[in-house]
Amino acid sequence: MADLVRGQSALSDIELEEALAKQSLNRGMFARLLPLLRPIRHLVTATILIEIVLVACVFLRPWLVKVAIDKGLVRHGAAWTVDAHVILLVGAAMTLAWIARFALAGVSQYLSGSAAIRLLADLRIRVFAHVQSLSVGYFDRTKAGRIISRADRDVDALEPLLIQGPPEFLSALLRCTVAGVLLWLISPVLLASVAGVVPVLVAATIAFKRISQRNWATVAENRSRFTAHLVDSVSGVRVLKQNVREETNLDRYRQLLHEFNHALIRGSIRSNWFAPFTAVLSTAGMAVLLLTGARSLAMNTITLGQIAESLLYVFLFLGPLQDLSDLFERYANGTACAQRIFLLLDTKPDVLDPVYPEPLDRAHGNVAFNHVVFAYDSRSGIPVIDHLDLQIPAGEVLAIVGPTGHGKSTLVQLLTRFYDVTGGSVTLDGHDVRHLAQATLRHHVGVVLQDNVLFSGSILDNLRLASPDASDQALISAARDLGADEVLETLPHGYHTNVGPLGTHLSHGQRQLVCLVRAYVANPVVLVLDEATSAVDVQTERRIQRALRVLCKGRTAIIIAHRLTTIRDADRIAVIRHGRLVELGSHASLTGQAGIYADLYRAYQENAGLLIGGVAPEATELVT
Amino acid sequence: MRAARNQPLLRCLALYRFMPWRFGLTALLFMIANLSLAWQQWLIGRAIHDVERGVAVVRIGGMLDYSIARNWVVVLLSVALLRGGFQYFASLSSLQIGQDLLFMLRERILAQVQRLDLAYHRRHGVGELVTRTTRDADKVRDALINFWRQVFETGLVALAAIGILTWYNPLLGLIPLLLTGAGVTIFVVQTADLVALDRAVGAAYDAVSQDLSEGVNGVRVIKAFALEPARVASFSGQVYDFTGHARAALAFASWRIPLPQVVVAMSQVWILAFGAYLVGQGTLNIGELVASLLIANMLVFRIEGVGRVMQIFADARSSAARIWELLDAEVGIVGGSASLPSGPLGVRVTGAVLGASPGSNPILKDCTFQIEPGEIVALVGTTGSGKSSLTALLPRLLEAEAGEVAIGSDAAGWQDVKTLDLHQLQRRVHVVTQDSFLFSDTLAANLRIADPKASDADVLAALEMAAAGDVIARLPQGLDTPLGDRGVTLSGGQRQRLCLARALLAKASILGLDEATSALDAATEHTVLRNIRNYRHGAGGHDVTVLIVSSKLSTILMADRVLLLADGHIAAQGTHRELSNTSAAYRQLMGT
Repeated sequence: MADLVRGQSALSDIELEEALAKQSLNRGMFARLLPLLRPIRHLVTATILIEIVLVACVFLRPWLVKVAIDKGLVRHGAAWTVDAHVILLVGAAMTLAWIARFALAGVSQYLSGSAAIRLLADLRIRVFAHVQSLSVGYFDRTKAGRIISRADRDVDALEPLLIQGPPEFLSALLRCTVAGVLLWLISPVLLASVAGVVPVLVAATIAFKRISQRNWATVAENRSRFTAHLVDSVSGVRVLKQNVREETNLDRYRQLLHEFNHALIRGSIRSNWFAPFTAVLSTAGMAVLLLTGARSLAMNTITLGQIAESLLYVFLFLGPLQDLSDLFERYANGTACAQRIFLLLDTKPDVLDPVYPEPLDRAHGNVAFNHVVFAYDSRSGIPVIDHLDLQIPAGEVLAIVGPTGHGKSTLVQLLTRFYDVTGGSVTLDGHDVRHLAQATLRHHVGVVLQDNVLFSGSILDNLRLASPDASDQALISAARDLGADEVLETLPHGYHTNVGPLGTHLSHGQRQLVCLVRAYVANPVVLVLDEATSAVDVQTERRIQRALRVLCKGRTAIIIAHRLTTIRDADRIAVIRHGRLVELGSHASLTGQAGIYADLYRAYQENAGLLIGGVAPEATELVT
Repeated sequence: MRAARNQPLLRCLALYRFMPWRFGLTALLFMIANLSLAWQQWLIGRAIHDVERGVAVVRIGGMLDYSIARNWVVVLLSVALLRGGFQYFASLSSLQIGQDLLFMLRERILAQVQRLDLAYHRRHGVGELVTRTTRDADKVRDALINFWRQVFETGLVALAAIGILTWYNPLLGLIPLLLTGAGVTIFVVQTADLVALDRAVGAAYDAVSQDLSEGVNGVRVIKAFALEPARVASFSGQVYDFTGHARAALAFASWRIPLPQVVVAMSQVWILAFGAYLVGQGTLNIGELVASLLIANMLVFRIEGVGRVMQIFADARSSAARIWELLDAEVGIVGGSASLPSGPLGVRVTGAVLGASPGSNPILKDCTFQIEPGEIVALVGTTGSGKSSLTALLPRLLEAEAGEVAIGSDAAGWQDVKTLDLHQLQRRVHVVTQDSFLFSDTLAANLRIADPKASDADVLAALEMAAAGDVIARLPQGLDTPLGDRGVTLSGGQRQRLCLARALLAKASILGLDEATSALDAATEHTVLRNIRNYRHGAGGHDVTVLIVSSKLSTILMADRVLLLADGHIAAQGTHRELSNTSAAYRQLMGT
């Protein structure tokens, strides 16, 4: 099993994100988080004020108990008589105190909850907007799931840190202070006796916070490992079955779960003392108070009711500490998530708009690649595009052919500026694409890529993305122009059919047709097209070919072509190998030369001639 | 077990039956810890009574005698320490058995996911299964974590508190008992409404998630059409819709939950008033009154959290139900015990029927054909004609509803796949699909899934055979290069070649290529198929029977024979030339 270690460590992912952000993860978060609270400062202030009133309500009760004992009960030697009037009054006051306590807590919950909802919504949108602004390269190197969880679970985890935490902390602090003051008012000796507990408590709290924060990081790391393994196993279940890896895969999962459990329990052994410890401490506080109280009573400096009152104070003061351990765990979690969120927010897009973009209102469509060099990873030193020169005049249809993985897709993505060249330049009508605003560039350069992504919504919604103001009629007639109407109109709700998340409710072929129509609606001057290779049946295939022809008419088109029809229809053919342009010319001229293209084409023809007999090679693809 | 089926959460908790001793120990530790708490409160009452009687600290002349008070301090601290110890071990023990229970549940979930056949996976989809195995499992975890601390312990605290109060005076305990019962009942009633509100919040959040996922996965299209502002606006709209629902749920909780809390808190008012009356009657002393008030405080604080716990439990209930639905799903495909002969294998399908359901056409009906050992056969047909389903029948990833799928040869005999050992069958019959799935791991680890014992040389040879030698040459760390999330840093063609290499490493006797070469250019595809064809003649090679599904003519031309699948059965078969001459359907399909 050692050689089959799946479930790559999440740490290395974080390291990668750090490298991309050019920042380290562990930074103080306080200064970064504070500005987030600005829009909700009124709600926060209101919550704090209510917490103060709440603490006052809470302290009313011990005082009422004192009144009941000292005034409501009258001592006659060993016996007591009841002053019913006082007791009834105290009972009524106590009822009101409880009602106020819970009603105020409800209001406080509502206010702080509203604040949280607002803050988290704003932050979520900010993270999403930032994600949208990042360059394609970031998405290549960061797992989709990790990016999504930044705007998803990580944002949620901030709630305890920013919203629940401060009022709870403030409330604890207030209770401590008020209890201290009240004890002092009853008797400075009582305060002095209890005050001894406070430093111990503070020290324990600090130690606990430190330990639990460290634990939390390890536990979270282990959790993300086994979750990643699970998600992978569910997505790849067919591969696991086919390779009979179910047992070993389950073993690995068990191992990851064990590691997680161990980390969790090891951490808890070190941190679970806190709750019992605070309980012991509160008992110690009470015991000491009883001792000093009894002394003061013996010296007649205090009443019995006051002793009862102070006991309740200790209880009020130390009681909420039990919940502090939960709060700390969530706090540690929140800090870790905040760090990850800011790591993402601090990641700058690789591809940036120039400060003063050159205007280009009407483009002609002249495209040129000048000595272009590009490597995805500048350190690896293996360029994907290696000193490539290529001029494409306006209106030309250029087919790019070559083996997969030799840089064809990369080349066209340099034109759309999904990546920036490492050396050389790419120009549109003589303007370096880096000198144009990305919106301008992409307005002129349309793209249809292999992944054929649609967004949930109807087909019309998807078409309208390319032209927000177009009427339904205009969009439908565009589909007709491309001959996609036959297919799209047979869908259950025609053009109003919902395509599902990322278009998954449609077949490959249907999706591709919609993408072509979408590009047609956008009507760019230059069209970049990565011809899809997924298998579709011949009828759909022909429709796509027809649509392609209509689409390319009257504009510069650069097509990464796999099908012979597309290639032969092209004005020129560029053969790319190892990131270099090795041949360039029309089908006729290239087949006339003794080059790679001619070899490939001949090999194909020989095959076809030998084996096919009378089959016209129309729907077949070129051996490249 | 039927009652348990209606109580999915209880069914999860019932898993504790597998660790009766540790469950008992944990329960015992909790009981001792909480009994000590009650004992401690009772002792405080006695101590206060001593203070009240003026015996705790006695003034003798000018000196103070602390002996009784000092005794109380020692006793109280000892009890507190003892209780603290029990509390510590109880919390560790409950954590441990809680984790063990979750371990059992998580392990079962993955095992079940791996056991269920492809038909189930297709029906439910990856997204749903991932949610079920991660989010639902997390919700159940939250409920289980709360079980010990919130439910079990709160119950004990309530029991102990009311026990002591009743010990002091029956009526002193009865009213708090009734009030607590009333409070909890109100909580339960409110939870039903709250759960409905939370569902709406959850549904609104699903829309947010979907927008988020599309924003990340569709980034190239978004950039290509400069849709960033539109996507952000749409996302913001979804988020604000979600916040509306969230605020409604929050408002409900904030306004309604104080009511049951106040009801429970009335216990303390009762204790104060009735306790004072009892003190007047001489049946209760001040120490006991103060202790009762402290106990009531403790009770109120405990019950305060019940509302939240109810919500967590209600939430977890539906998650637990979904998990059990998954775990209870019947595994349709169970292996037999027969084993396959060594040597080359063929396929014989007789009258296979698949996907027959009332009101719709079956995918396959009366599908019959035979493939001889060592043959390379192409399977063609229009999209949706059932080619993929047919190939999945061979390694029994899907099961034919009628008819027979047999593996073997005329010489060595034929065996129905249902009688065969499933693991052996899947080792010998390997089908590769179009959607080349790679795990987030290194390249080598991805390939060794097919054969963990393969040496680096084996791995490289398989890569070479799949024409993927140049893929690895271009990767920075060679075999040890980590492949990203689903291997996104590779092109479709590169991924397909890696998946082919993985399949070749499995050294199966029957290889199904279900559009597995669709993203390869024809030359590469040609090379791969030629490599496979030549493989059996090479040193250490073995006979491979290949069934290749393709819509590309160049691929079909590589095959010895072509099967045309139409209307759920093999409509025609023969060489490409024969079919071109005899079958109109074939000519139409191939566009000739």
